Amino acid sequence: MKNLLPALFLLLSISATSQKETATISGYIQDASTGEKLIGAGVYDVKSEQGARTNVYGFFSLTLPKDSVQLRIMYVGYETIEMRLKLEEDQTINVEIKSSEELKSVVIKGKESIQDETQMSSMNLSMAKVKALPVFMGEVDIMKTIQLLPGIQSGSEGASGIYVRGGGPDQNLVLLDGVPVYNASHLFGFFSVFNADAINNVQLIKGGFPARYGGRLSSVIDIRMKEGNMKEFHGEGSVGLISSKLTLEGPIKKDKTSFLISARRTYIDLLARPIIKAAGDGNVGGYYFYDLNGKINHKFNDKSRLYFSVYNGKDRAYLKYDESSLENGIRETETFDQSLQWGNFISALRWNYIINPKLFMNVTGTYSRYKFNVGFNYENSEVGAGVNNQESYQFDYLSGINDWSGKVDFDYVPNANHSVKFGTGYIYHTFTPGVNEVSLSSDGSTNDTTYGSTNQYGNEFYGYIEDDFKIGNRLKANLGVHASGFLVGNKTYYSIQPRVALRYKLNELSSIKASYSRMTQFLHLLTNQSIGLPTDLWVPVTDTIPPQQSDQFAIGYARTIKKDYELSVEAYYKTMENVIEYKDGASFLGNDKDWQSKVEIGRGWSYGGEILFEKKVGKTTGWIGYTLSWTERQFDGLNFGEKFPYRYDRRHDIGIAITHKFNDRVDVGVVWVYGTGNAVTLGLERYLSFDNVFGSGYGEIEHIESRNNYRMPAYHRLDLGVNLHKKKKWGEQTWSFGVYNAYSRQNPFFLEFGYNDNNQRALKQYSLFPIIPSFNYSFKF
Amino acid sequence: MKRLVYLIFPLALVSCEKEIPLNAEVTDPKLVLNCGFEEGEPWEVHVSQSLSVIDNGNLSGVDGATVNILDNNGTLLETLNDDGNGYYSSTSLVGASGTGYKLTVSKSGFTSIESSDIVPSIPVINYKDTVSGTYLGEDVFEITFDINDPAGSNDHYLIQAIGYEDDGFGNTNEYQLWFNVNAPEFENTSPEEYNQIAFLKDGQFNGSNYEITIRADGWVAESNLDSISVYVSSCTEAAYNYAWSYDRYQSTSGDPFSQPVQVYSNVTNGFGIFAGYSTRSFAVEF
Repeated sequence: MKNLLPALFLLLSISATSQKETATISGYIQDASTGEKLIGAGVYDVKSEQGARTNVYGFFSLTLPKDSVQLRIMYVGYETIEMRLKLEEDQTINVEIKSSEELKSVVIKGKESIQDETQMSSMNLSMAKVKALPVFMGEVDIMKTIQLLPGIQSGSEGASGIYVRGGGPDQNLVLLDGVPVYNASHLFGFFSVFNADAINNVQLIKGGFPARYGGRLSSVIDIRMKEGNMKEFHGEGSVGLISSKLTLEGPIKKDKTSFLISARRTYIDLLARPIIKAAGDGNVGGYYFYDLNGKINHKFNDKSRLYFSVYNGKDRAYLKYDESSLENGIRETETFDQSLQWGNFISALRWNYIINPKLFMNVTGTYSRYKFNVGFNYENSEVGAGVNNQESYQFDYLSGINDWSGKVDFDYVPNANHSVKFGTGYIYHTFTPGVNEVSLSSDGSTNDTTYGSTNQYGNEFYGYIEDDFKIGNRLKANLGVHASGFLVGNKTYYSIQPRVALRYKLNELSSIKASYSRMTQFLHLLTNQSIGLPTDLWVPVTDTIPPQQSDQFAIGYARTIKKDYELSVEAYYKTMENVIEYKDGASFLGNDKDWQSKVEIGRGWSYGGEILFEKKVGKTTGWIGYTLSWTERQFDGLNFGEKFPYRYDRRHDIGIAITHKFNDRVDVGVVWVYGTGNAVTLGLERYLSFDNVFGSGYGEIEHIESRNNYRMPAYHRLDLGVNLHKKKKWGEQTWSFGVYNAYSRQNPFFLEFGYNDNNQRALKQYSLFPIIPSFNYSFKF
Repeated sequence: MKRLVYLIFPLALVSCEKEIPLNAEVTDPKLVLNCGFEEGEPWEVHVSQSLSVIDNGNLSGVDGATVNILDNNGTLLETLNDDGNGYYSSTSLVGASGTGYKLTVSKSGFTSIESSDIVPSIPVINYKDTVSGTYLGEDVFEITFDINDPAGSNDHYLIQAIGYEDDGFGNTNEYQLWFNVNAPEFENTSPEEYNQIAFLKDGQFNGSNYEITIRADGWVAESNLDSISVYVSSCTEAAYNYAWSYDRYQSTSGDPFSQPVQVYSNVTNGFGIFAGYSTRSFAVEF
């Protein structure tokens, strides 16, 4: 490790000095109609066969020998344009390209081909693809589309949580405009918090992590919001079964300042309220969630831009109960009010500055907050006939995490053979890992108590450098290092994390790739195995709970077949140290102990192979993914120290997602998924306890041979959808009709032992969703 | 669990419930051994058989088994008497402190089972004081005593308190008291948690005098109890692991928010517990 950095800079300097008489072309590539920056677009000089790609802000830099150049600009779903330039000095060009939809023709050629990229174990999701696939209840969901990719496992039926290459739900770095999102779920995990109308680009990385990413072990999901149309005012929206949404965007000052605002809200509670009131039994209950996304983008000049983005989302389930009675002249009144709510608030202020054509800088300040609260308030009064008794009881359970952070990132492109990224950042964390507040009031006296864990604070800091460079015509490498530290209390942890990715081109159409990455995570998530709930607690490392660390090796083969098809085959082996899990019998409820006493520290392993066969262009597009994997955990204090399968150890996992466009008016989508059943813990034999035969108890014990000893039945499901588009004078409307679980497979949600109709003990399976049709009306103007 | 699902997601109201086959090997019933033995006491053993979790049958004792007590060298010390209903007892043999024993059970139609453990040393305890006071704003009744822990061994203790009350008709009612111990050496320590058994390991005070204060609810001092006896059992690791895991198992049974608990067993080829303990007590008279 010690020799890695000098070697990296040596390579860089040799390569930089070996290039003579060069000039740099730099600038932004953006959508011609909206001004939206295009992330990952290719800029390629046909003559010198050198190229570059735009970064996450749409910026590129390409240094070439001074000469006439023939630039080809490419982006999936957009026209490919070529331009000739006489390159005699550094030049800035901002290129606008038209989408193929606008051109009414299928002029779609790819970005850098899969066999050319150094990055492996990664995938970009097009929002058009996400929206074209059939979806649960008509709600387009990025996370559920990600679940269809190989190496990604979903959790329970319908849930949007993901488990990547054997990792836990805490090991995914979900970034919205570069800000971590701590709970990406609405409706108890059935939908994600990302409103697809406000999203521009999604990149998933599950291995071979570039050094710029850190802080989580298993994946990076980098989601970028749209910036807002710089050219003209537009809007889009939809009305569906679950929610409605509306997005508006446009220039505040044309080509200078733009805005985007997007809102979504469910309305089950509003629709049901009159019915509940009509029932008149004193109960009022409901549930809703909402999202708000907003962004302002201001261009000071060609070199300097400022972005401010904000997200606010909340879920709330509530139940109210009122009852009043009159007896013997005494009126007794009871009220009970219970609620469960959680939500994220995220904001980011970013400044992009082009220091020189080869050096791009981004400075970001962010705030992220996740808050969970469950509580109830009970009041009882007896008044009349000389009686006046009042009592109340209030309970609140609070948990959450707050982050303030700042970072600065640089992209340095010294020549066409090197692309260097480096930067540093700092995060100030505040953890509230479970505080109980109780207030008891009776006959005028009040007793308030707060107990549970107290706030904890953490200081996380990091720096990184990586270089993506060519060594000859066939070999390309991305070498880097991510260094990080975490200060909590009087304890400081440090970590040096080397990252290596290699690509060796076998021929023009195929390459082999290999990667190694070490990742360190200073945060843990206390999560209950039985069911994923927003009650999951984020907690920091402590004196006794060390950071999680993983080492992942991957090797793969990538090939383009007949231009339109891509095949990727990968094998991986990942070890995880210091993962945590609740002890036997531990529960998040009744949080009367510090959380550290509830967990065990252990290790995990995951290994397997993945195949992804994808067609990105043409009328029929989509992919078929298959994963074969094994995932295990071992804790000294659990399962009597023996290894056991992880709950989401899934031997076989298949995801098929295909869309077909018949014409501009009709397209259809098909999704089919199959997964080995989840591993759950069941006692399969029962016997008498000691206190039953020698004491006063009546105990029976269900013998659990091992944690996660039993497999639920396999999960599989077919979803179908059709989208009918129609141009209108004012824009375009789309009717989407879908069927979730088309053959109504009863997939397992949970299992328990009970009694059947013959009063015989039996294993029972509960399923959530049979066949569910849905529709959605959406519009754009 | 089902109620939880209804609470969190209304669509579950249309959820489907169905019986599915238990996809596990049909295992033959195994012999189950339950035996706690102590210094100076005759042996009493219960033998039963396990059933599949979906078997409607009653769990019952197994009669006609051969139950042998052997010493550490494998020498037969006594074959226990079959007392019926699965109970077996010794006629002359009693447990001796510091001695290891092995027990074997065989019965036709079952795989034989066996287990080994020792009778631990007798705990040395000294009663010190009782105080009525307040703790975290609550009225409590505190009982303080110490344990003189032997050096050089990993010792485990279980502490219980029982209140006795004469009902005026010549009968004595017994109440197992809930109490709180707030010290890091206890497995189930907590300022708020009240338990009926406190679980203690000597890791932090091996070989020394360790003072303990247990806090029962304040009503104890004002009740009609005539006395409280505090029982301190030194026990083997096997007894401790069984008692601790069974306590967790019972207290979290049916709670969907809790992790499932595996109850410890030290019986080879079967289930149950064979473990030694030694108990001493002191009484606080009112």
